[in-house]
Amino acid sequence: MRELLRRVLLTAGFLAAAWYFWYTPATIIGARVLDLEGEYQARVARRYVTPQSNAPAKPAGSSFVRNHSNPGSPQRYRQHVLESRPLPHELSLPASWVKSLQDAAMGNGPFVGRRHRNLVYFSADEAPLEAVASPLRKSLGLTGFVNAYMTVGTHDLEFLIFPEPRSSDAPSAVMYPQRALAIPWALGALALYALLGWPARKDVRYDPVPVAVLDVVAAGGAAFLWALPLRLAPSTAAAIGDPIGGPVWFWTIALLPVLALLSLARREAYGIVVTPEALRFRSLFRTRIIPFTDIQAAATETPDAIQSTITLQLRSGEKLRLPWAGMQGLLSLVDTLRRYGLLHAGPFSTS
Amino acid sequence: MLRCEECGTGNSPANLYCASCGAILDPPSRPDMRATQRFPAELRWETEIPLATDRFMLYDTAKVLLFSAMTVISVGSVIALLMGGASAPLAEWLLVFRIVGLVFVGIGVALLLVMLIFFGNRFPVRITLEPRGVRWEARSRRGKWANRTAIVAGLLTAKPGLMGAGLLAETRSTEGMRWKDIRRVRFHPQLCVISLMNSWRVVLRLHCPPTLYHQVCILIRTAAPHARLEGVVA
Repeated sequence: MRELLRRVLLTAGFLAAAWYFWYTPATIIGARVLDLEGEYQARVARRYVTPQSNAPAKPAGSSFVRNHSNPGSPQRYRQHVLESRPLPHELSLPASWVKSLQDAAMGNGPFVGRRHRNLVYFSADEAPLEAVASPLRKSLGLTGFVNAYMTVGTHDLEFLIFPEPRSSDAPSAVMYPQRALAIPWALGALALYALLGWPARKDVRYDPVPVAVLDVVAAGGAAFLWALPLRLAPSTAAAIGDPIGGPVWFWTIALLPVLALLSLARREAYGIVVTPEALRFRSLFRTRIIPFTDIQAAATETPDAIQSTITLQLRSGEKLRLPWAGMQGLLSLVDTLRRYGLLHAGPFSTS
Repeated sequence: MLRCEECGTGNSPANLYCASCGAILDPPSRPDMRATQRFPAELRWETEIPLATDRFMLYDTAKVLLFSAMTVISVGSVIALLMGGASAPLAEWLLVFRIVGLVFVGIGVALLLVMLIFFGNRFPVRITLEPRGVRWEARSRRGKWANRTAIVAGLLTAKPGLMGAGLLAETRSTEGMRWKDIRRVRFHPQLCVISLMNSWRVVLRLHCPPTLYHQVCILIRTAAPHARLEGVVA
């Protein structure tokens, strides 16, 4: 049971670590403080400069568009942008929050780690943005993201909502907010695996080193396959919300390494303790004691000339086959069987 | 009675190791054995080596993969630096490291699957100790079949790489080492495995049946008295 528990803890820890590593918020919001007048001067005004007389002639249509879409002034441009998709007027955000947003654009303040290019990213359920998220969600149709504007004090703000967080450029700190927990969970699982207690070194048992390596590989593989849909879907919520669309298939494949772990638990639990009076056989769920007086003979078996087992012939007629390939500590068992005069000649040929 | 040169304890003549301190009882301290032990004409056994559950197999596989990965990363880093300039050398190197790392992790997992699924985690071998040296022969029918299939498929599809891999594996299905070439011998009595090394690497690993282990140890020490002996009884 201890070997099963060891692997259950290892796998659970790795699954939790994979979950935390790839967990994303359901929705991400990007925000920035706008300088609409500056934007007008830099990007818009130049488009409406009257063409020089010696400039190449433009098609008539382009001058029509230019004349009818020209906002005319920075103030009208600002009004035009803010009214294009406004957030409800009753919403408000703390001035300190807006100040931090402004500072992030300058490369300082508490939101610096959340900035990428000109946007600062937040999870939609973070205060104080949960109020903004609701009207933004309503304006979402089939689009991947949508933006809206509001004015707080003298500052104009733009918000972009990303219902598929992985389509945004949000930094890891926002995209994967739980990632810092992944390593402690994985290390904790490994520590529990190692500290749960091991059979005595002198016991006859399978070599624990490759079994431990394979345990870690199998648990890691199971966690990877389990968490892969979380990475491939647009968000964690999307992956869990539509399990039949992909995750279930990965989770079914993830059962294969889990089966390998069960097999490894069975292998690791198997052992033989040599005592002065008897051999104690240990398996996953039970222990069997066979006194030396119950053993009639022991011999190495040679089916097809391959020597891979020692066979114990019991007085009851039962035969017990002990595989030795990959096992450690067999010399003490062989010496003991020889000492009791039970072991027959070796399985080798000399010529 | 044999006296241990390390601690002075008296040992049974049958002992290879001191019962008190575990030191190897050197052949010079066993004149009776040197004089009376005759090398048999041949000592042979067949056994099945576990693959994925054998620590030596995992260690050797990991060593080869790591060495190959480091070589590719080194070459790739130099190329990335030369092609990309010195604008972001760390970023270039990290990219190469990640790509090569992922590829080699994939190869490692694929090798594990081949060991477990194709070979059933067992590889039959025949080991022969003879007057000239040690011979190691692969006896896996699946292995032979895979090698020959690779050769034929490589020929038919005009892929020299595949054919070369099959030929290489086929030529390595029998290996040997002369007694005089053995420089070091490392005993792993806990696992009944003996590693035979030349001056810089392990050439052969002998997986012995537990009933035969002591006899193989004595034969190797008799046949290669010049080799440095390593390892103690656990």
